[in-house]
Amino acid sequence: MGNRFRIGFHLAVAFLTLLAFVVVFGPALAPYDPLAQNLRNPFGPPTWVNWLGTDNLGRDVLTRLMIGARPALTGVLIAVGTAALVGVPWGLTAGYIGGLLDNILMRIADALLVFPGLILALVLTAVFGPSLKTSMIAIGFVYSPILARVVRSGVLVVRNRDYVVVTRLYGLSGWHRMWQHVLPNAAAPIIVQITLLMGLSLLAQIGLGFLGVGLQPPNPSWGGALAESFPYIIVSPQASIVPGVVVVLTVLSLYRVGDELRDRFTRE
Amino acid sequence: MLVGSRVIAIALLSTALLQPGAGFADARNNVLTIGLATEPFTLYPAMGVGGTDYPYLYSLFARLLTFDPKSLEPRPGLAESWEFSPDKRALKLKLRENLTFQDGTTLDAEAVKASLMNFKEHGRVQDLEVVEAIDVIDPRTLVVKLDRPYSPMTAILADRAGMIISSTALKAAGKDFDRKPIGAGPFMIKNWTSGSNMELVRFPNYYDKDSIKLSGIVFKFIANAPSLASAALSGQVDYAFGLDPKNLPALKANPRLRVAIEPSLSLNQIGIHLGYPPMDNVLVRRAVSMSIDREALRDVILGKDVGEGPTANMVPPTQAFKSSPQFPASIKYDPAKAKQLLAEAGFPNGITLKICASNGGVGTGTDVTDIEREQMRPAGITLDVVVMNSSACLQAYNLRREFQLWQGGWSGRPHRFMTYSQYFGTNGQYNKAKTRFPGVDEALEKIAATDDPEQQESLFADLDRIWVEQMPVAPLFWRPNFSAYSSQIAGETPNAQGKPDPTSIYFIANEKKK
Repeated sequence: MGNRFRIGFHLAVAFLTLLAFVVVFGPALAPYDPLAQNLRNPFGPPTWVNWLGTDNLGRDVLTRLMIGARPALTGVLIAVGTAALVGVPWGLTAGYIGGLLDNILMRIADALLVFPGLILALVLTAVFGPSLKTSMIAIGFVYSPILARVVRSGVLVVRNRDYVVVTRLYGLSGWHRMWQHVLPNAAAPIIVQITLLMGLSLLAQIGLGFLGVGLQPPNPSWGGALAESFPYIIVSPQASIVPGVVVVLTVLSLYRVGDELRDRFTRE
Repeated sequence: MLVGSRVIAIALLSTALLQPGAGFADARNNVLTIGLATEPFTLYPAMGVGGTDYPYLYSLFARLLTFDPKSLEPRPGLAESWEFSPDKRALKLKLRENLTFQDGTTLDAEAVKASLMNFKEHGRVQDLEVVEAIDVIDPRTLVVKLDRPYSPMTAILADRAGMIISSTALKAAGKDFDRKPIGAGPFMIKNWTSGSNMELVRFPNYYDKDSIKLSGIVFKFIANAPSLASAALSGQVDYAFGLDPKNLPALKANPRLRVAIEPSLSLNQIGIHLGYPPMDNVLVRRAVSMSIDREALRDVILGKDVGEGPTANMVPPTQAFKSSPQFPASIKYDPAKAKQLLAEAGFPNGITLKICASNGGVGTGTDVTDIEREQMRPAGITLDVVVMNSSACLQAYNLRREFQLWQGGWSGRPHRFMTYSQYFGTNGQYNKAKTRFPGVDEALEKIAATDDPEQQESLFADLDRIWVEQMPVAPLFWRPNFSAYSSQIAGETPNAQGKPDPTSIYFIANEKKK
């Protein structure tokens, strides 16, 4: 059982490594211009010319998936970065200081968590204009209370440990204590949560892209690929399969890595 | 034995529930279920402008005149006869006997006058601006006086303006009239749940009640194209209108459906804001038109050779124009020539144009702009596309002048004059910049002053020619209607205008029983 468990992890890492390679080198390695149309060959099947076939406008699917990987993963980093920038100080402050401030900060988190995340992100995107950056920052804000609660839980466990208490004796300020001693020792669950949020962010990005408020066409995006193939789902359902499979594999890989990290930290 | 009986009962129940149409299509109660992609904004004819409202409006309102489905020539409606004065400045209408509204009040000449004057004063479409006064001669006779000779008035009275409403009910209902209108059409409104459905019931005192076989109609609003097709395939609706042509192969393969590609005056277009430079420059407008491969666009959006083909005219062109060399030149894809025109207009390095698109219908969103963007690139035109919902798009384009171009459609009018006057006339409703095109107002006046078909045809040929020279709008291709009918129904009468009137449909089984 241990070996099967690990094989899943290694496959996930291999897939994510491949994805990272595509993100970095994809634009140079992509076989065709992602915008080049061939209206005489819509929904062409996989051939030696077009390995994954063509889309509704005869554009090469493989090229568009490769080019679309960069905004997909960039968006994830923006979302998770925003969630961390907002959520970590939020949870750290609430957990370390406690008392009334903790109550206030956590009630704000509870209130935000009540809202359906995607709807809130849609509203924010509608206000500030549709783009990848706006939509992913909005997603980051939506997920920041989740991270804040995880950070707070970790901080509550660590803040009264001996190695933290002893820092009061040699006059370390509360600010330094929070960031240099408490947070690093509460990092394990945060790291696990971040990998899970990466998967969620990607799904949210795909959803927003499908709704037309992410990266704008004709720029290739994974959500856009699903949106473009959706009108044809009755007559050409296969057009949704390839981008769908790529998204599923990416999210599953991120979750698998998160699971492995969680198990390792638990064993420690 | 008991277990076996239960199994049989469950199997029978399941089979009954899985029958096509179970739950919605209700032939036994003679109620027709129709699936449409668009829900009306209002049912008050004067306040609406949407071409997709007509299936609802035709069901609820009787018009003064109707039209022949094929030729679009006027036919009697509430008015059994009509007569123009020799100078075409007065139209006398004789109403049928014993007409009533759906609330039981009398529909007489005074009621018609009140309805027409209400449309003139408050209507969002200025179709009755030429009406100077209305004289009621007797309870069944009225004379509509016009401020100029205007032969297209009969076509106008077969359209929204001629949908007679109860002004008494309008005063009583106020704003609620939008959702609970009172007309004299074959059906009355029973219930309207926004975002879901609208239920109509038969009006027993409709003037032509013998032609109506249904007891009621349920309109289901299904905005999503695959969902509308699925509703037709599964029998959730008896009639689906405005289908996305991409789904036709699946619909045609279903033996329980009849698929029809029906004629229409609808087209897809790129709207051009004449008041937003440089679109006031005719060279730029012609460059935009020449940089689009209309035929390739039509083939992708509708299917190869589907519909009447590419067009650079807003109305079906006259035979004289179609036979002239200007016609093929007007629809030719010529990016090199377009680039040259842009250079002459002062844009030797190309131009970026802002266009608003909405993904609400076939051929009005990124499904088209993605293709146009690539087609226009060799001409030096860069399209900056912004996607919004359709009403926000129209407001931003029409009212706030945020876009030079608009990706949209046109549902057509029963008379070519109406389209040309609204788009091409100096005071036309859609000529926002009040641009005066040489020779156009004069030609429109002459057309309005005569009902001689040959004279009108010659004048329309002039307008066809001036249109492609000036290109105030860039029409793209004719868009037929794609409909699917259950094999259980018959009696549909598609009309050349492409705005369906579902009231003639009936259930075959119910008619056979009679």
